[in-house]
Amino acid sequence: MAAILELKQVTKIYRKGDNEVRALAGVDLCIERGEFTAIMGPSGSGKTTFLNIVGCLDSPSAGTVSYDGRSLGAMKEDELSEYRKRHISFIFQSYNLIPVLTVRENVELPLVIERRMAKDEIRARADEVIAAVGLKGLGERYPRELSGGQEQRVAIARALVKDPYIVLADEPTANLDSHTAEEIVDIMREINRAKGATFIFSTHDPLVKTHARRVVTIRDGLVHADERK
Amino acid sequence: MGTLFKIAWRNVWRHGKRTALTIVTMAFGLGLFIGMDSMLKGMDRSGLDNIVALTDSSLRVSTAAYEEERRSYPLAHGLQDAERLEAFLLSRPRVQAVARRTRFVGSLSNGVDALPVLAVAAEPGRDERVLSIPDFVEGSWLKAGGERELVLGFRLAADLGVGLGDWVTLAARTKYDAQNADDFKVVGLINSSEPSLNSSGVFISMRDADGFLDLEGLTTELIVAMERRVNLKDAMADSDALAAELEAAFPGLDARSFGDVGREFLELAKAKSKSIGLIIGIMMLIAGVGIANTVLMSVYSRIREIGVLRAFGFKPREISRLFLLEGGILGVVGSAAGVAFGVALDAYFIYVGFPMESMMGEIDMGLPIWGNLYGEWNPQQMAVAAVVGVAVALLASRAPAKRAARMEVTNALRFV
Repeated sequence: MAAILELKQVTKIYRKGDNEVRALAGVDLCIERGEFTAIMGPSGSGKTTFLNIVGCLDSPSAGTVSYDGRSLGAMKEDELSEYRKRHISFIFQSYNLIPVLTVRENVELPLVIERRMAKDEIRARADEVIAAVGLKGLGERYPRELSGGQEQRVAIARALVKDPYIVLADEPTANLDSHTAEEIVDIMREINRAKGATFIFSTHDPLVKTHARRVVTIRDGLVHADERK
Repeated sequence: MGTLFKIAWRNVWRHGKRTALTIVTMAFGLGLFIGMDSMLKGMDRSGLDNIVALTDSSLRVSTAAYEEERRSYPLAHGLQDAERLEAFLLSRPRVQAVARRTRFVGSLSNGVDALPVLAVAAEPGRDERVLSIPDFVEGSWLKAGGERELVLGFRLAADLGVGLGDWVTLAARTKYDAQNADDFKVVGLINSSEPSLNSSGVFISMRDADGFLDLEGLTTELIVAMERRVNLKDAMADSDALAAELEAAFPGLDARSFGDVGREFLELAKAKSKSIGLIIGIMMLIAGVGIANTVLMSVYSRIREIGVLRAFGFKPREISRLFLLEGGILGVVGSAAGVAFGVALDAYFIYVGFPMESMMGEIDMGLPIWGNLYGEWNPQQMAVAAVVGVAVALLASRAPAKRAARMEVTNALRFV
């Protein structure tokens, strides 16, 4: 399979006063299109920093990140925004839905920001994805009217609506009970299988680990283990 | 823009109480500005009307020597050949009426107390064709054939404790500087929109004054009524032109036009409106701080939301635009509410009026009018208020919007 994401010697150093914190210490990793990858590791191991850099939310102190063979190192803030808009989606631990928008409007948001589709197309696409995550008929509800599991489904729908290169999920099941967590992982896995969407998600959850096709363990800012199933 | 507006609009109303408080502050400030402006405009109009209709007329003619010593109202500098002067004035195209007056200083007594007064000897039957004081008189104005009749301001009457039908003693120096005093019957009390007439106006007939002050036909000034013009500038220009013409034709005379008096009055009024502008400025500053605070609180309560929008591709300037839009919405809604409040205030002031009499009581506020003060519509100022409101809101939102745009995405997403 073709590599969609490639990290070479990626290092991230944070400076806090006189102290230096090396969050990533030279990560080399290659993710292929359609992979369902779990990033595991103890707290403070560098999982979130890894996802931030892969998601173009942060830039590495050293090393290169390439998508589809294109290096993102030289991109400016606006170009990175544009890149995220087109190719990368996020699922957050706390769902982070926009509370003043309905389920449908939340799901439509990435497409509206992208400004490439007509209004009718956006609506049809949103309805399709909402149905795919099992929330058909709930499009007009507001996030406050949903359960945690339903909110995370909306977040998944929002992440998938624009057919991104890659979906990054930061501990997507951490705030859910085990039953709902399993449902959410099933949905992600199903979409991964059916649509070929590439997922990278950080997790502490052993249940999620069992569903992952590849498990990358990060420890002290380095890839400690990389298992494929 | 549609989604940005949708998010901004809904967020504005998400914290209803906070938003309502900001809007009420703005509406109060702007509404008061519009209402005060209406009152000032009405005050100017009433003041100018008073000049023409109650105190100075369109043109006041006296000798230059009299004008130099005007403060003492000397009887030594009367108008020579008043008939020829009257004929000249009445031959001018826009002049409608002319009347003679003689002012003199004296004291008015109720038999126990006396008050210094500036009295006017007027021509009954002619004076009211130039000035409309009789319209504001309770009782009656001086009658052409009346004897020893006196009309005075209601406040002065109250100070002296006299009323209609009472006798008062007027004392003054004659033309030959001899002290004289006579009793006059109070036949009318003036309660006009001109406070100076109410507090110090004393009028007797020219015929009584002639005997009382040994005037021998002396007139210190002529007052002139000119055709009423809708436009203030035209009315001022007419009187200025007539004054210039008269002074050219009669050297040694001094003609004070409505233009001269009106411009002085408007200069003073301008100073008043400046101080009110300052008060409104302070109120708008408070509203601006309120809006800045509202938007800033909105920024801080939505840091994660900012992070999410940035993660999905919003550029910093779009984040900034979102919060500017929220400030703008507050500004537009606040301005609309302010204009609505202002229109309501205006309507009240225009149709009901502000009752100076009952609100101020006996207190002299130094305002150029008395009675019911009526406002005036001023759509131009309403538009200014609305634009200022929106501009203040946008200006106040700039700093919080910038702060939101500058947030690091990763920090924003981490924020709990």
